[in-house]
Amino acid sequence: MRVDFEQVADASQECALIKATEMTESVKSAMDILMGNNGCLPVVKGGSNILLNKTRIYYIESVDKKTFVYSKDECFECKYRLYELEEMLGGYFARCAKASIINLRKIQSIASDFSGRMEAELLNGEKLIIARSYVKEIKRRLDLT
Amino acid sequence: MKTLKLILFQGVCISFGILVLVGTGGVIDHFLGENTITFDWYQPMSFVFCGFLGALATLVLTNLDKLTIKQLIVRVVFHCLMLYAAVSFCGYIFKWYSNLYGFIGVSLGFFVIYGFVWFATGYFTKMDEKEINEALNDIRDLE
Repeated sequence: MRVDFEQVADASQECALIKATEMTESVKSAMDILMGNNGCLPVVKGGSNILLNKTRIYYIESVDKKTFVYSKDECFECKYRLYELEEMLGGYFARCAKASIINLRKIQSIASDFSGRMEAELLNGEKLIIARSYVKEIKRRLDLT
Repeated sequence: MKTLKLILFQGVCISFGILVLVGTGGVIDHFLGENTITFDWYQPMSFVFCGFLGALATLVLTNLDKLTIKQLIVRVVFHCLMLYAAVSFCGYIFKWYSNLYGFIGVSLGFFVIYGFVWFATGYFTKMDEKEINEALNDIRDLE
């Protein structure tokens, strides 16, 4: 996509116009950033409530009805359920197994085995399984289908 | 519901595989000028029955996500043997073969198709892997 920048005299004239054939995940993501909806997620660590920036999240996992949010080297607990988070985070956060959501921006690479199962290696070296049934949705999020 | 859908899908795939195998045999037989392949009234339905019997073996291939590669290989070998047993059993009761050579032919056909299906699955998964990795390069965060 071609990107143009035009300087304007004052802040009231600032606007962004995206012309695209369809509303893809990349477009939604760009709109989120432009509208300042980058967002933070309320999480708990060591009894303290903190706001975790979405961009720090690597993956989210549900274990024994509790939801854990993982950043590069930290783990937080979150009050939301996976289906709620999937809706809240949207964009490049995709379900990769029944009990986990992965941030596609934090994947270093993926590798498949002969059964069609995929394994994602994250930027921090951790590995997560991507179940076959979620590959189609991940491809959709990446605008590949 | 998901399991039922899976069994139905697999049943159709296996029935189709058998039909392709028998159909190919028929074409070869015809062009060799022998024309010895004939069908009894129950044979087409036996392909469908075998397809759905074999599809039950697919249940051992569900919930693979948490398995190690070794466990996965054991499951696949087990699946292959169960499916082979289903095909051999149907072949015997529906008289798909009348002698040892016929049995060897059916067995060879089975293993060729089974291997081909896994090869095709692996090929398409590799294609997906390549495509996804390329797309990830464009959105990856810098750490």
